Amino acid sequence: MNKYLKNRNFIIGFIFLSIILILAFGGLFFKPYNPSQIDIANKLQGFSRQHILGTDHLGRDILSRLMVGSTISLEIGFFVVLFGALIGIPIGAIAGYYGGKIDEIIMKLIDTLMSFPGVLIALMLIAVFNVSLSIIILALVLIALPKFARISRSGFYKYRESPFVLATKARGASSFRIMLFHILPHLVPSLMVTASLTFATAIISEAGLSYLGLGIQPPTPSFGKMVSEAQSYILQDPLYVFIPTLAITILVLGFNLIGDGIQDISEKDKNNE
Amino acid sequence: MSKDLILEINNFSLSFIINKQEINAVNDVSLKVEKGEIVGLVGESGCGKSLTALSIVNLAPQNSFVVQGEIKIHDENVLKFTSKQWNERRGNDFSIIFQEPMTALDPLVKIGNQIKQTIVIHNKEFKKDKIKLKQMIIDMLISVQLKDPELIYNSYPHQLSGGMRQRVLIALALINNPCLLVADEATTALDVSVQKQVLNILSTMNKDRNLSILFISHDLGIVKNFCDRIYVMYAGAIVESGKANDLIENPIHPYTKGLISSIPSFSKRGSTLSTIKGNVPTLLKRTNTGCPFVERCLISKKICLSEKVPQQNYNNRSLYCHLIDLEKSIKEKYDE
Repeated sequence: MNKYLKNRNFIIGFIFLSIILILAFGGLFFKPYNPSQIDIANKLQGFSRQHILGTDHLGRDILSRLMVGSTISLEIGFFVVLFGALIGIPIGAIAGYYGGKIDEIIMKLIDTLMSFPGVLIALMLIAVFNVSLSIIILALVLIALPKFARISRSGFYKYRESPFVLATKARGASSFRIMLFHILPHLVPSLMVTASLTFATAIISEAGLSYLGLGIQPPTPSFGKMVSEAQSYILQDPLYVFIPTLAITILVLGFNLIGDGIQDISEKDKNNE
Repeated sequence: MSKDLILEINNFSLSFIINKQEINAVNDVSLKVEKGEIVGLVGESGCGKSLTALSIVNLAPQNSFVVQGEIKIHDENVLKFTSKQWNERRGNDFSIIFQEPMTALDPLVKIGNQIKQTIVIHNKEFKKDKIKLKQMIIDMLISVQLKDPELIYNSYPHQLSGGMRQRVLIALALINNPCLLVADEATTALDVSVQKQVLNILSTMNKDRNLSILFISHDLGIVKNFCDRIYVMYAGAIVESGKANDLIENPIHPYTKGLISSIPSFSKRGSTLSTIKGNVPTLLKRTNTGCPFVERCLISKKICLSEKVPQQNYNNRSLYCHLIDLEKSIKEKYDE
């Protein structure tokens, strides 16, 4: 744990992430105002004592909206990483460990999936089904899955004929056992890096979709939606557009820095071995 | 067939497929290991010794396939095993130790746990009895002459030296009381004094547990004192076999002679060390029509190039050479 505290990237990333986490968890217990309550008389107020981060064009409290928006962003990121990893890692493991024809077939399919632009998959799914949180997550999982599969495949391919794996096989361990207990632990650092970058990408993609009006539907606040609503008022109240943009930046930068930090540390570990 | 036969390899051939071309690597190898016997398999690098060993535990590289022959352990043809049977038998009935002790242990798992897994995979009933399990492991670590077994039990592989790791590997291989141990260059990577200790452990195990060992090495000096019988392998084929002492002191096949005369020793001090000229032919150049050694042999005749060498018995030896009748001429040529 000590080595994580010595890494600057990791620390800064962690602080950034903590800001959003505090917003999100704080929002679960206490919100200054109802985030959907409209109060036209007090619109575009700027910073004030009643509304710390000001109000939007309909007079809703921006801090409360950020709190709800961050929960949704984190929720989406979490589920995308969870399902992307749960599906992608085993697929890559089978391809890499068994190799040959199986590998070729699986990786061709994964490449096909990868060749679709992410937004296109999302648009297609949203056109077929109605917009909902689970459809957005499904679309983002389809985008995230190939990354996990590729990383896991290359790792399993690298270790499958390493001497200690052969030796473990010679002691009678089954393939499943070798994959789970002897190869997977070696891939944890690189998979953690992938997870944190995927988390960031998922949040950005969701913000992008919401900005286009295809993501989270009003009145539920989300970072992307807030930016798209605020942009028309950029001249009247620049702070209004600045705050949700800053929130996205902090969250995404946080995850990216954490990913970089883990990568630095695992490389240093490797050099020390 | 004798009941005491543990390992029997009959006319075993293994080929690789490289660029859609079939390339033969092990050619018509037959050998036997009896109960409680230590059998040496010697030859230069690239002769197919390790491939033969890996085939016994079904770990030959994925692009290789068995052309013919059978490998029998306890009269069962292991080449017909399903992967489930393999997992039940490997590490339980027969074990292998690899050349490289530095890399044959999982670097992320503690020694104690690695041994524990090996026991539990094969004997599920021990799973609950943690105290007995640990006692078994500690006893095994003591019997391979490791000091501080408790400390080693809780160590990671990188905390141990090469000699300690090789002992741990022996412990791992023998923990389930197998009847056959394949030692693939098990002592090659160790320094001389540690080598001696490891050999002592192996020969103690051989006596105490009646363990059969197939000992693969290129160090003839070790093989002579350690093994009961020796097979000499060249370019994928067995060329000579016989009792260890007899074979080393009185080699007949030109290749064996060449090998033995290239051992450096104190008595040869000052004179030029003789070598066998040339190299083992690469896999692509092997023809399998005549004698595999023909290119480097000093006394080769026309017949050696064209005709497959029959097995011949000669003075308690099994020998693959067209020219044993000319034993004298071999002797003269090599003793010059």
